[in-house]
Amino acid sequence: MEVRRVTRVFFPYSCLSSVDGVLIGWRDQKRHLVCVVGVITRPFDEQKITAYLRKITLARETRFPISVLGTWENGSNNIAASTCKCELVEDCSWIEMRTFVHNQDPPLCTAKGVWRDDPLMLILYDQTKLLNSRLENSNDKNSLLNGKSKCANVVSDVDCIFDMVNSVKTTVLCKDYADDIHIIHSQTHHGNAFKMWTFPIVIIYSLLIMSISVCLKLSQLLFCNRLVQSKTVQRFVRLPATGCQLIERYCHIQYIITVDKQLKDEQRLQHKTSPKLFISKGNLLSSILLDVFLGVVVMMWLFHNDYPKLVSCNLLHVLDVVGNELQKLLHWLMGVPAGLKLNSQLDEFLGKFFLYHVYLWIGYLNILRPFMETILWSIGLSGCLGLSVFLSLSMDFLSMLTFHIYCFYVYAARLYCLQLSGLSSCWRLFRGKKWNVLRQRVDSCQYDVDQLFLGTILFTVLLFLLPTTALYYVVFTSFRLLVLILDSMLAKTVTTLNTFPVFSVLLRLFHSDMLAGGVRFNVIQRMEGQPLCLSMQVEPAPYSVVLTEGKIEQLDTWRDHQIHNSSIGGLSRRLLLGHLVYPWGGDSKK
Amino acid sequence: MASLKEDTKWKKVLYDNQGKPDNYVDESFLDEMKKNVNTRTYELWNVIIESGVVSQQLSSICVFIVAFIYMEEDILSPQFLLTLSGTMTVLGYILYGVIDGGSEKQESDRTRVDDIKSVCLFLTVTFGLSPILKTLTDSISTDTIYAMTVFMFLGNLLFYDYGSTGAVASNALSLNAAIFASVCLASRLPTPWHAFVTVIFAMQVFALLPVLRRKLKSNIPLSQVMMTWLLATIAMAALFTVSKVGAVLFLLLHLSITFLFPFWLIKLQPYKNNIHGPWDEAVIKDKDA
Repeated sequence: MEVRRVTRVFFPYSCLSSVDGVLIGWRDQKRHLVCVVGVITRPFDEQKITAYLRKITLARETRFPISVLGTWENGSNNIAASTCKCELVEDCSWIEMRTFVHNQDPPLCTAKGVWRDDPLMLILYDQTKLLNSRLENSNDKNSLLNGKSKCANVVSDVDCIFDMVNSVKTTVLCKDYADDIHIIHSQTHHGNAFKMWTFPIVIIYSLLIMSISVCLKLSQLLFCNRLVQSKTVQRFVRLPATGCQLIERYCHIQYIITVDKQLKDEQRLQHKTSPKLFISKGNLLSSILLDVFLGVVVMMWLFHNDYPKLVSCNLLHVLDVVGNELQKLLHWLMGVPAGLKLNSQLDEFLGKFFLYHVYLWIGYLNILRPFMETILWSIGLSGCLGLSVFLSLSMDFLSMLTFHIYCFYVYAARLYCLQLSGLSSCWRLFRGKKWNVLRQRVDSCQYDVDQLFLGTILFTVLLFLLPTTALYYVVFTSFRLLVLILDSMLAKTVTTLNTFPVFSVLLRLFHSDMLAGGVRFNVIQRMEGQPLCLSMQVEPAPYSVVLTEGKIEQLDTWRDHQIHNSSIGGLSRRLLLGHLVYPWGGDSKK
Repeated sequence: MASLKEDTKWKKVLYDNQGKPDNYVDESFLDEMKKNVNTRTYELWNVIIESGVVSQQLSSICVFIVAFIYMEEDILSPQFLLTLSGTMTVLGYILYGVIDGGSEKQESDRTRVDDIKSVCLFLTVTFGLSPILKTLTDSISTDTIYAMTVFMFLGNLLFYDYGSTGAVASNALSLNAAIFASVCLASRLPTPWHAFVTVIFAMQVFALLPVLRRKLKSNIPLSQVMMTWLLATIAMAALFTVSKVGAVLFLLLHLSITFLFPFWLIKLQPYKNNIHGPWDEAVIKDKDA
């Protein structure tokens, strides 16, 4: 027994009360879908309808060709149309729908022609809701990427209906498109309700956009010459976190202003990008505004309590204490720390080396002392550029203050890494093996006598000096990790501020029509012998989907950072082998 | 009903129904088994003479340890040791060249200049590193050092290449173990100069002397016995001056290696019971090799 597909007929609520006429819409034989978009009411001229339909097909690409689907009757007058097939219907099957005036039941629906024997299902939908929303699903992204519509069996039927209704938004559903044909659909009574309160918002928005684009043009004139675009300058600018953050915000603003022009051609092909574009632009703009607002709030709070002076005093005191403690620590390491057996010559050498560095750092702090308050004050002022800029500046300030710890860590790590790799190589030589770089494995090797001799002596020396180096490495790595944790917390906050989709969340809270997450079908009571009738409701997307879909992507693609392995296993491996660790928590390249 | 079929000889196949159960065997069972086909028969005096290699290596280790003890107790001055060993090395080098008759020099591509370069390299590196070597193990206790030395010399003995194709032998590992042990010992001596001399002496005893011994053994077979007894006598005399117990132990060990163990090996040969047969894995013989 072969499985017969059920023919599904979609019918808008707004047409339920229209007078007699013909149904127009889209039909798909393969999927057994029929989607009614509107009803052309009697009296009509058949040639005019044919001309109108041809006009529609010529105007846009024919992914969803509109044709006459069948007849619609309202009331008791059923003499004229039921027996004969309407000449307008070109296909071999059509739908006949009938309802009665002031009848609460769903309309009676029968299929004629080839589809006569197939089971039928009637689905009522709200056309306005469909026009407002976009189904948020991942199929969308894929079909945008390759520029053509995906093959029919991957896109679901509901997606098709959404696309179809949206595709006729400017033609059939537009009031002025039809010349002297009277079509009933959802937009006939809707009209363009021009609310008064949108007027000032539109003016402010356009002023804002104009001023920003003027600034953008000026900055482009300044920054688009070859010197600034060169690799060294670009890398240099991205060295401090503030530079990265400013460039990211600049890219955001550039995107808001210029993305309309860029996407115009693709937009015509897709007819899909408009709501998504709107949402992404809204996200960017709202993120920037929220940023600036929070920054101004923090700035005013700082200056109101006169924090810069207080913080600078405390900071200098803390830094002095830290310097003294470091010196005491190094003296302890040069003795017999925790009873460990260290090589005294190497110990003393390393200890004196690091002591000299601490002395230099204390001198550097003394130079910085009179400027501390000014620096803190200007960092606070930067809050008017946004909270993220403020946080990035504090991150940079923190890195500057703990620069000596970073230096110590790098020295100790490099020394340890070198010693470890030399030791492993000599250990392989001890056993008579060698690392084969070509095959990436350990192979046996015939060594020369002098190689063996030298290798063994080096092995002994490196082995006995390892505990001393390892101890210094452990001590300085732990300091560095402390600073890195602080740094990463700040970086994570900055990233969250950059990527959180404020506008999407607000839309979901207040105007959830725009973010459709799926559809729900409810069964409507029907009379006996009539096909199943469902009503399709559009569900708003859940918050998790809104947050993940709306997340702002990193627009500054120039990052040449190596991809940091920020898992615990990778981190421990790097620490154990002596490779340098970098701050995690920032956005890594996807 | 009597069948006219003759009682044919039972064939060792299973595809033919011979009227017997599957695990039946007749009197030709195990005819194809051969015993001890590939064993070699040992001759007592041969084994005794060949065992000299092991005792030679043991003797050199003992000589080295005694030299270290002398230097630690300040009986032997490092300069004297250095000149003595240097002279012996030069003599040995000349001897090597004479015995060789130039054949091996043509095989390997080391010229005399290469040898001189190696010597200079050893001397310079060790001299440069000797201050570090001296203070390397200051904080480690002497007992640990002695234990490590013993282990390393044992490793040297075990992994030394005694001329057979044993899989355990590894030339690099034995030499490295000996050098490691000598560095451990060198760090216990008073001055860097002592450490330098110790390492150079170890180099000569463990790296250069085996080369000479191998060459002597391959070219003049008679010298093997002489060498064994010479080294053993020197070692015993040296040990006797340091510790009588050590000397007695060494003597016992030497005698067992030379006489007892070969005799034991020969005595155990009759118990050898290797069976070969058609059930062995096929060994693919290479025609060229």
